[in-house]
Amino acid sequence: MRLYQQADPSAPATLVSLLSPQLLRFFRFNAASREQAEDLLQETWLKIHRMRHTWRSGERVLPWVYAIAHHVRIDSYRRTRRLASREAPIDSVPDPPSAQSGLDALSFESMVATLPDGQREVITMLKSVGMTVEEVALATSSTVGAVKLKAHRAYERLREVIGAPSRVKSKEAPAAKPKSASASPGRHKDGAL
Amino acid sequence: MNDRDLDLDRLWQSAPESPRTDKAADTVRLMTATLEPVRPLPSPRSLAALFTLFAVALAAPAAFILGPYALSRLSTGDSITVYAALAVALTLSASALAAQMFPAARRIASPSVLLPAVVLALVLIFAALFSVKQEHAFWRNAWNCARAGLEAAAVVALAASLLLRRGALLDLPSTGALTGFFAGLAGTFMLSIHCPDFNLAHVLTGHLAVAAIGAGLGWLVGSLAALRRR
Repeated sequence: MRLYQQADPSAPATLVSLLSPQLLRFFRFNAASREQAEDLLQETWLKIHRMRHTWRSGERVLPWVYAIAHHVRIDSYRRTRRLASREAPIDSVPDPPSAQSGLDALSFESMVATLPDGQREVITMLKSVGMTVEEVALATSSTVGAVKLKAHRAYERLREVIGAPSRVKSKEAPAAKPKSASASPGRHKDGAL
Repeated sequence: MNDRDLDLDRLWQSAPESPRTDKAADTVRLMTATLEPVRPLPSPRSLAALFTLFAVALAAPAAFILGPYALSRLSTGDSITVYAALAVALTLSASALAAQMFPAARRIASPSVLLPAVVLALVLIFAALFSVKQEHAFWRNAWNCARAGLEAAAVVALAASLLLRRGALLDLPSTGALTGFFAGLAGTFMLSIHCPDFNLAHVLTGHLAVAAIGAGLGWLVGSLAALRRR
């Protein structure tokens, strides 16, 4: 990041290749389609480029990057909502699942899609990016307590979804099948359900 | 359902996605085309100090030009309490304003908490020091003070916005509200040096209201700017 601020020509490519997959996943789980997620990713990078002077040496990069991504997502959501209220819907083209996404990815995507916006964002940052609770709080201009609460509620919700496979199966993801009938919720640590 | 089914980490790992290479290359090309060395912003603390300096440097001379009548009428204890409370309020809002310029900056509190808390604290302090009195032409006096305070606030807001433009303003409505509030507090500070009317009702409606009106106007400007940006 410091090299990027000093205009090292290789820095943008390095940063983009390093952070884009995680950022894309963040938008993929918080946006409507793959195409939209790609657009948001590009918008985020251009914003990062314009705002690079606001990163201070010694500060953590991820919360800084995701704070920008968080606002790009919010702006896009508001823009989409505004346009949706003005435009008549046309036949939507379903987004085909990527060749890489298998059964697990599809089911997990549909599970995460059942979460409210804020919870989905927090769980994506925690699980996809691997940020700490404190970093997520910084990125979302929230408090550690609020992030923990959102994560807890998201876990509870996901537990419910996983515990009711018929609902998930019929509404969201036909491919999601329970692999065993045990009622035990398994692990309860912060990292996993 | 077993442990494996519920492991979110494993599921995340199983959903890898890479951005389209042509779009990524396009992004890198756009970034590299305008790549120039940039100087990082000064620390949020330095910027907060600069904001406070702006407020004091603009509001205090204005009060002395209009006449520092309140200074000679307030007792030493009351002066210390009033100016110390306003100094703390100005510093807090300047810190919050400076934090708005940096993505993921540590904040004392969100603007929606900080602004009402500061106003409430000031109301309580003023209520402890002053009492409500009958006043002839109450609304006219209050309006005269509020107008003078808002004029001073407009100058401070303008100066602050010049500095704010250097930052990464992600949340424009909040930044607008904080700028207006901060500038309004500078107006209140100016009036607390100038106006010798210590009727509590006047202090609240003519002096402190400047900060509240400033916050409201700032929020409106910020919201309109955010709409335009979208």
